[in-house]
Amino acid sequence: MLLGREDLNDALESRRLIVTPILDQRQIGRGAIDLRLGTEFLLLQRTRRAGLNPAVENQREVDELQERVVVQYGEELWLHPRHFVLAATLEFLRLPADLCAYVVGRSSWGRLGLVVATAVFVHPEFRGCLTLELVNEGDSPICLSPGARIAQLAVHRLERPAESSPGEEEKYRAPVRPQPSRLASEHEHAEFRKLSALGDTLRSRLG
Amino acid sequence: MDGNPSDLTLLLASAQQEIDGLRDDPRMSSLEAGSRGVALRSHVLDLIGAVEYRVAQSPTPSSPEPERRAFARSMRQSILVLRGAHAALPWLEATRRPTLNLGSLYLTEDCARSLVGNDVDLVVVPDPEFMYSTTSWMFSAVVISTPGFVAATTRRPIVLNYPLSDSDRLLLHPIFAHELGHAAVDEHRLVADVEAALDNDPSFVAAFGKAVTDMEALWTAASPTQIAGTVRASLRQWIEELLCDHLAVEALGPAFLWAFSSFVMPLSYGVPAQSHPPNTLRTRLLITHLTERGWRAYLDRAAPNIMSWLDGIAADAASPIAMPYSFLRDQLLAYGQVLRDTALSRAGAHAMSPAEAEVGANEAADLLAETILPNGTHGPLDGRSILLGGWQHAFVEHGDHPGGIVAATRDRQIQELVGKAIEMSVVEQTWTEEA
Repeated sequence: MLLGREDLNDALESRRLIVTPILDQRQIGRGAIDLRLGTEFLLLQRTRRAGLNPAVENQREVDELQERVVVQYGEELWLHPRHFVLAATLEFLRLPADLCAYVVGRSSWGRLGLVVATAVFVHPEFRGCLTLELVNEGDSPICLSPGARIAQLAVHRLERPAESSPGEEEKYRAPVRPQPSRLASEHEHAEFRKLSALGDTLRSRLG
Repeated sequence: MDGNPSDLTLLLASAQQEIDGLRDDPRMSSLEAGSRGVALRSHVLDLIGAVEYRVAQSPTPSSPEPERRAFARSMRQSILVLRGAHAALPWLEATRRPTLNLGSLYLTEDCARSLVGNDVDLVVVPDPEFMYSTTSWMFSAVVISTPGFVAATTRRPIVLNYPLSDSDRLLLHPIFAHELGHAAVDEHRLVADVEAALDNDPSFVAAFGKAVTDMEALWTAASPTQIAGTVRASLRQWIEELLCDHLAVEALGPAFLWAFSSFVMPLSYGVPAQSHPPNTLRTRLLITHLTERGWRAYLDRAAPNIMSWLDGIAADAASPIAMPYSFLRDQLLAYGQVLRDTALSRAGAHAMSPAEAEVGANEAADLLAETILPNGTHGPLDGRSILLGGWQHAFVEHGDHPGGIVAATRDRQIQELVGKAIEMSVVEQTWTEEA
């Protein structure tokens, strides 16, 4: 069930749902909460490497490809056509076990060609600032200003609370900055190795 | 011989080259009024202006030799300072791309305003050496020694250096308050105030005279005047360092004591230096100050074992040390109240009090315990309380012992949350005020 304004206000007041700071009460809309753009960005640097293969690279190599940039309040970052940056929401969120959410763009920005998130699902018990994957799909550069209302959070109630199971580690624990991909982490590498072994086994069946 | 026509030609060409190098550098491009670095840039332009003013007074080849030689000396000094001014270029760049956590930057700027005054331009830059330090009015040697030249800069430029690896180690950043203390001491001539109070007391004057007499037997090659000068110079430096500690305590309370213990105590224990008192004495005076300002019960609640460890260090302040350091120590212990009163008077209404801060610090610590941004439940908490709450929670996470105080400053999660919370607290307060 999608939470409307009254339910959102109830959840926020009881602090079951935390979205902080809410600078303006008008951020809480009829079916979503507007989220603002934070001050830190991760820009993909030019590189002499062939590309990114998360199954092979180590996490440090992936991190080094990204430059962390702070854009202060009152300053701007121009996003050029087809360019991609990672940003974070200004707001810190905490969802309880019975709520999940989707982060989606605001239509005003979308009509300029801005896509704010490709990984849109926010799982129950998430805490932290959301990483936004910003892409300019339009033909004209777009000016981004920290603090601008750039996305919205549509909150849904689960029919049954989804508590995290033991050993289910969060890849991004209460982040407050944009987080680079963790596909090159050891945990994910183990999965890639397993897939590779699976491929080898299946191939050997033919030979 | 210096000052001959060839020498003057060399010096004028060299000075012009340095001036052009500075002026043409893109990092010297103008900054928006009110931005960080405006006074620093203006100070560099004053230096250039002062040197150009000197150049305009250059003697002719037929001028008397003493005049030409004096000018050559003044040009060499100018060129040296102009070359040093290139250091300001990366500082100016740093104002456009801050590497320091924004929350910490805002807190440090608040400290600068409360300790130094409103008329400051703070530039915080990473230092290639692993050290915290500060400089202000860095090029004034040339500017003020150019009679007839009128400088345009009125705001004090302050450059704070910090180890780049400490960008996000918020729990160590109370050390900035100590560094800003140096600018406050200079701006408000606080060492002179303390020195005057000591010199007005006959018992201090007698003790100083006796110390000089005692030193004569040890420093047989030095005259009593030289000995008195050396002891006086150390006294002033110790007073300045201790005043900076006390100012930091007034600005940030116990967070400074803990940051000091984590960063400074591993560097030296009870060894005095000409410029710095032993850390045992500093610890003792810090604890006395915090106790006098009503923080002791809080300190014992937040980290009783660490306080017991620090009390032990403070007790070691009485250990034997050589002359003249024992004289300096004994006098500064005896006149500690003057130091504390001077710091409190400077901080004024900005002084941090336990009654106001503890509630907020507890709230911040409770939020951190739930891994929630500690910016306040019912409105923004004061940044200083958030910092204190960060330390409180760090002791819970990493232990109430000397190892825990170091581990706390390595905890990325706590410090990122603290930094973000301070940033959000400032943003929310400013937003509300503007509304």
